[in-house]
Amino acid sequence: MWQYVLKRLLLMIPTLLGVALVVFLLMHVVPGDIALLILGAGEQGGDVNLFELQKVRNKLGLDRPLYEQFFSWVWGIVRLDFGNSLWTGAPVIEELRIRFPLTLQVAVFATLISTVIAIPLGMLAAIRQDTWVDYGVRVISIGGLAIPNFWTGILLILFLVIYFEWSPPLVFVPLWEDPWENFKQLIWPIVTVGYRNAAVSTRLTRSAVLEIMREDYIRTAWAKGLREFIVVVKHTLKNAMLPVITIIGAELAFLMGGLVVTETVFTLNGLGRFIVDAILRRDIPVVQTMVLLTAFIIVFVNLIVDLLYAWLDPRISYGGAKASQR
Amino acid sequence: MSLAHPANFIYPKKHLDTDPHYFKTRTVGTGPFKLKNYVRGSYVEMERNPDYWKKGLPYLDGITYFIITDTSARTTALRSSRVDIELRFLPPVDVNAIKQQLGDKIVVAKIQSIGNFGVTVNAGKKPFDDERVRKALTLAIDRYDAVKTLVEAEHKVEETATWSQSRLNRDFELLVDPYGSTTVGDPDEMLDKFVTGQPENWGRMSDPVVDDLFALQSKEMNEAKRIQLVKQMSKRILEKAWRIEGLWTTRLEVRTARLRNYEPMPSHWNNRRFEDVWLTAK
Repeated sequence: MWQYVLKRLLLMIPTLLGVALVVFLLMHVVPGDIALLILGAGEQGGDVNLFELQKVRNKLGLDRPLYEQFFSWVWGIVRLDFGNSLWTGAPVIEELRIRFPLTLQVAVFATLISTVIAIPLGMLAAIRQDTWVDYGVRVISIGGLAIPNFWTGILLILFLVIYFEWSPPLVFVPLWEDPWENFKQLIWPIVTVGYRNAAVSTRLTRSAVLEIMREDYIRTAWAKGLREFIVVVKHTLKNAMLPVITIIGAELAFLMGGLVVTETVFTLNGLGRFIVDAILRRDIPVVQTMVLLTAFIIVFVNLIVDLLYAWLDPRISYGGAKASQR
Repeated sequence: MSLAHPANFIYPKKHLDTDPHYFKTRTVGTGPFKLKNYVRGSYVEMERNPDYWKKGLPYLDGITYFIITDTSARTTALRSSRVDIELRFLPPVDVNAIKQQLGDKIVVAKIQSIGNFGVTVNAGKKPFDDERVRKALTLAIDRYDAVKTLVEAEHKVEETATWSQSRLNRDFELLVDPYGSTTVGDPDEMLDKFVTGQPENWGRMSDPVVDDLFALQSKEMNEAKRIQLVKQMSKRILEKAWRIEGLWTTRLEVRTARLRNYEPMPSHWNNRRFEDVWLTAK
């Protein structure tokens, strides 16, 4: 088991290197030059003379050969030095420190809320298939899928501001510093995003449970005279969880950088907007680090999901010895 | 003029030598407020400078600037009194919504701004080197519709790397090119984009008559005469259709009625010292 985990962790390295190389090349293929933006050419007006431009490029190290830029960056990563943002001049890690806690909190809490809602609802819809409970759950979940979550967010904000002349605070305060202030700001995006994710997992839970309910061993369980609760929770749900867990994991990883519009609507200073701004400005170290971070999170979450598989389904085993016994 | 320009600051050489980004996070100056805290992407917090050279000023203890990129989020912040003033501009729909909700608790300033949402023609490219083509274009445009579309387009393209690079390389035929919104609004600052060889002359236009008039007005000390020259220059640019001029914009600036002694200016860059501004009690 631990050998397996170690192997997976080691396999991360070539994966991340590959991702790094692709991003690096992509960023150099697309047109655009941050040196121009730094010299003010992106704003209205702005004098750019070629000598100055060369100076800025030199200062940023953009005039070095590509392979040199790439390897010096990778060497930095190895030493956990992610470089400086070309735009702000601050270390990338510093920029991340401002935004990471917010994004992580929204992602984790939204996932928690959606899971807590989705699994019981999906299960309930399945075991009461084609009754009003099922129809109700399906309406709610299709609604969640059909409505973009930023739009839910806009409606929520309008509701608060029109009826209460109130809107969430504009400045992020970490959970451990002032839980109440933090709650007031983040509960709305968490609910908005959580609702959408819940819609996805509710539908998946429902169909997975329905499928398992038709299996022979469930009929056997019923025939043994087991109580409904035992049949549904112990025999069905646990087996139905595999696809659901996969999706929850994938959604969680997506939330770590994919909430661009939601962040804009709620005035959140999160990773989504950060990466989009960096791409628009060709802030290469920031984009590279962010993509690498996202890739890392996805690989890591996948590993955890795979380990959960083994726990949910004893037929899946990652221990070499155990596998050969069968 | 460069030194007097409000957007230019003087920093000690030793700071800039050690860190070229010094001015981005720290300030050196003599203003009424001092930089207290800056969280990138979120807010800038300023506190009162007790040693300000005008005794007794400023009145406010501090100012916090929130960085809110979304227009409706800015509107919301005003409606819920999270902010006291919006410093750029809001669309009329949003301003009406605020007015409806807050009534006389807010003040809306309607300011004639110095911004023109027009299109720059690349005079170095066929067929736009032909005066008749350019004239046909300016006649064909419905300016009221155009402005609505261009304001949107501008907000999408502004500050992206691709846009500024193709602008610099003159790699365009028609360019959505808002101009104006300068800090001081001096003709030297506004009109140099029509002069041969100037960096901001994106369309590579070259008209000796325009160049001469620009040089003359720049030297002219008599204000009335200078206005005359600038008018002549503008007329020539319009006649030759060197640029498809759009409409001049109006800026709607919303602030709480609690904010006193505040005077809105044509440019949103200006009048941001806030040294004699104060707030009434809630």
